Amino acid sequence: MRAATRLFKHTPLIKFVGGPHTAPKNVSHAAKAHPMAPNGELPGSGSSGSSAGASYFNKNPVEPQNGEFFSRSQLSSRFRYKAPKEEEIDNVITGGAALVF
Amino acid sequence: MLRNSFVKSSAASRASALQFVRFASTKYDVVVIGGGPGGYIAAIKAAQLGYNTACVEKRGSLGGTCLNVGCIPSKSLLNNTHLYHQIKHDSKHRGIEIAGDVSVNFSTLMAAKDKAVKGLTSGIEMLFKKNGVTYLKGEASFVDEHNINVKPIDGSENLEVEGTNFIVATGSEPTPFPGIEIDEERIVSSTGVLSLKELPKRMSIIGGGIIGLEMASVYARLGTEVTVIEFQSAIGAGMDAEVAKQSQKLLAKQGLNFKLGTKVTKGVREGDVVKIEVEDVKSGKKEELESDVLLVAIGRRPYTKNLDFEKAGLELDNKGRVVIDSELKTKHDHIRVIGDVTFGPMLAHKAEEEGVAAAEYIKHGHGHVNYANIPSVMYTHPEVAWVGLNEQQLKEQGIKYKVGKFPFIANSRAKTNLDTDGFVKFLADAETQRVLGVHIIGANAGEMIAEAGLALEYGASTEDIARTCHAHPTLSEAFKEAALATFDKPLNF
Repeated sequence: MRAATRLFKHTPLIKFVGGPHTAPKNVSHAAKAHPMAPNGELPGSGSSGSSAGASYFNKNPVEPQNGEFFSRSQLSSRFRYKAPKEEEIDNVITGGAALVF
Repeated sequence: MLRNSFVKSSAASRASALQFVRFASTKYDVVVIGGGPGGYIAAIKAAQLGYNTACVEKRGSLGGTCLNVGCIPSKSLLNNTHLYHQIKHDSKHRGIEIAGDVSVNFSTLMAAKDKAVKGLTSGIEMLFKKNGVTYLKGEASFVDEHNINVKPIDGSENLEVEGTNFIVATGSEPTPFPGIEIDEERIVSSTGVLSLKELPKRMSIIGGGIIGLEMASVYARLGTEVTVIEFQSAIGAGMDAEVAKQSQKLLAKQGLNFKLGTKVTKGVREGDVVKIEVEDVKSGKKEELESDVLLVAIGRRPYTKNLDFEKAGLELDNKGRVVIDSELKTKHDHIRVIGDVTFGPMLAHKAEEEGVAAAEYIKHGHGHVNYANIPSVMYTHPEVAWVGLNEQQLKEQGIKYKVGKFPFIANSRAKTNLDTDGFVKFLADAETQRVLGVHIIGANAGEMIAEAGLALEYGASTEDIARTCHAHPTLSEAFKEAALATFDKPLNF
């Protein structure tokens, strides 16, 4: 019985971390790429597309090279996301519940 | 009368002198450039952390794009047009008889929006006063990496301000469409569409993203014939494909016309009409459309005009974003950049998070922004909201996942509200049930998504949510049931 109770006991994955929090010590402040930076660009690395002040819109536009595409929709259908079928959506929206209500 | 004008003029000089006194201090611990959601929050937080802080804003009112010409005014129009539409078309079967006609007073609708904006922007000024932030009304430009020049908007003498630290939060502006000239009257950006002088009979919108669809909803509810033209084959950039498809279906039912997989080749104003040439991306078939108003809503680009970033040695990437590192720093440790003008999604709440983090980095050397947990909301009806990963992203990353869905048609509160469109969809790790993404279409989805954000932040499993008691009867029960459906059977469906 006890074993069965243990089996069904829910152990939350959620961990409440408490507080107040103090700032962690010994954090390295060495420059790391911003999580949203494309290609891990770093300030001062010289990899940026343009220096400040110069209008990047006036620069030569970036054109796709051979075999490169800017959008998935430009690829053949084999590489595109598969849209869900109408029936699947309708089943989710109405489903069996429509029969009951 | 003379005495009265003398009193008024003395009061004006006193106000001017007070402003001068405030401007007289030219050295600050933290100088924030830009008073939008990122900038004003950063300024308040820095002041709360004990720094002598100034915030420079050139618009003349705080709150940035979001409060002045973005999220807030559009929400006012969305809410009030939804009420109008519901009263006009969705009241009889609820037992509400309207005697006489229901109509819209367009100028009062706009005035209600302006009132909401005014109240909120002046509220930020009060918060600045409360927290001791100096508000410099002017245009900032870098002199070097430690000094900026502030050109006051009242035309008074320029001021040089020295900062120990800078937080740049200059935001973004609508991206222009090459070859289409915006006059903010007949061909409008997301700014001009919020202040049209009269209700157009026909409106075309380039861009089926969130801004385009929200404005499409506003004007369609008022009776405008709206056509949304989108280059991609689906609406709602960034949405889960299933959610995007379903919301398109619901919006089409409300009378919106969609031209997907269609590119715009020309858009010119001819008198009071805008002529638009479009082309089917696949077939190349051309078509000409006519509209009273054309809204160009193809996105936004970082705003760096007149800031003289090169004098501080700041770098922009090929999309015009300021390059920063993981601590929001530029190549100078004391200049940090937040919000739309740098990497990441252009969302007010993302900028706010970064504003707090930037101030905390300055104070403690540690800040926190979870870029994997930034919700997106589209305030159409029904609303669409999502956070975390979508199915396509999970497939691309090779993560095994389970799906749990629950439709609002099986939710008691939605049934009583006679508002049952949509569903809640959970994506959870197949093995641990950890929540990986939540996608909702439904009334109040924008509020409900906060629970999903909390679950993601704490690393909750769907079972944790399913075992949490949710009040009955509420829409949030659909959230609980969808979580349950990822690992067990839903109870009410």
